[in-house]
Amino acid sequence: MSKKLLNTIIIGALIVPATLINATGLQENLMANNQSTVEITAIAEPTILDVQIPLTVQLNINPNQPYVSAFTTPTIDIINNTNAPVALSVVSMKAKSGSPIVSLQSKYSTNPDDNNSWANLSSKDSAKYISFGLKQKDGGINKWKDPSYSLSPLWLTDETSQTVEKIGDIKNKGQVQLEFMAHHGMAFNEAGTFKYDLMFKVGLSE
Amino acid sequence: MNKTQKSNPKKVINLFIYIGIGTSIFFMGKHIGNQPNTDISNSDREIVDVSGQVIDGTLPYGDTEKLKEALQKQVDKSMLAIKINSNPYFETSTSEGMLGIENPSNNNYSFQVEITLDESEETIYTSPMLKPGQYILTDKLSYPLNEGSYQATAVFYAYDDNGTNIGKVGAGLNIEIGN
Repeated sequence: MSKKLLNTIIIGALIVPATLINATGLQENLMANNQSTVEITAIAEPTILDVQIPLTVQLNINPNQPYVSAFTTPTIDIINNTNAPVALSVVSMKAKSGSPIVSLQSKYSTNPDDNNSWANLSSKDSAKYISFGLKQKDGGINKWKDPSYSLSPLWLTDETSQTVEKIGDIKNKGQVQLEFMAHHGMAFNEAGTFKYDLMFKVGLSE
Repeated sequence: MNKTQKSNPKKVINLFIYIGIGTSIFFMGKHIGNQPNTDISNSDREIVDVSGQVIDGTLPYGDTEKLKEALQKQVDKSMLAIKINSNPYFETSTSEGMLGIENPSNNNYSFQVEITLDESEETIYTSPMLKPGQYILTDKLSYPLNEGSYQATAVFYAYDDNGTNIGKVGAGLNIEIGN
């Protein structure tokens, strides 16, 4: 009797796992036959550009200072609140009526000691020509996308070309501080305000 | 009689020479008279008693720091925050698309946005004026475009309360039109 019971247990022990194995295989087969694909759709919402930029910049030329310190510029903050890096560009400056026209810096020598230099322009030419550039502020905040990037002074082209010149890529949630540079005459008959149209442009970094 | 009436060419020439010399002497004298007085001794010059606003020190041309501060205040005041969808999609050129233009409430200026195609410079959209704290979620383009992708620039023209244009800022967009 005890032998019969032992045999039953042994057979049962062999049959039950086999049945379980079969059942698992059956399940796999069923799944293979009724294969259902779950499609996952990821929607990438377009990025909202979110940037703070100054609209107007006042610059000052004091011809009674030495040439190298005659030009005064404020700091120009460009703040990128976008969650992505943005490319910053500048559209050439254009003089408004009565202001010296924006010219290439190479129009005259940049060495003030040269006879044909910006610093030696006559009063007539001082009122007629000027050259502008942009540089990053020394010791300022410069959160470029590429940490090793440094903006070399970017001299703006002749105002007639109206080209878009790239300044650099600002990192996401980053900020850069820029300053203007200028070459100009030193002979002004009267104090005056020169006005220019300038447009900074931002876009998603490519 | 006839001899005396005839003009003697020699006499006429002499007359011109005399007139010429006389004129030269006259103008030379005038020119010399106009030369500045080079006598710097002026020993007979007495002090004229005049009171005026005389200030000790040097002319105030050199206060660059104060000037810089004033320029900085002006540029900080003119900061404009802009928000716009960088990649607006329109199912067709006549349907509305998500432009997502916002004039954040911390701005000092209202603005109007004009979108132009980079290649043809065609204006394809002009927004109504947006005051700080207002936005446009969707709108239609004003210019029909075929299916495709277009590089465009949205220019934000900022105005003060008097309606004076203060300046502008550009944003590069990629506009997509479905079929």
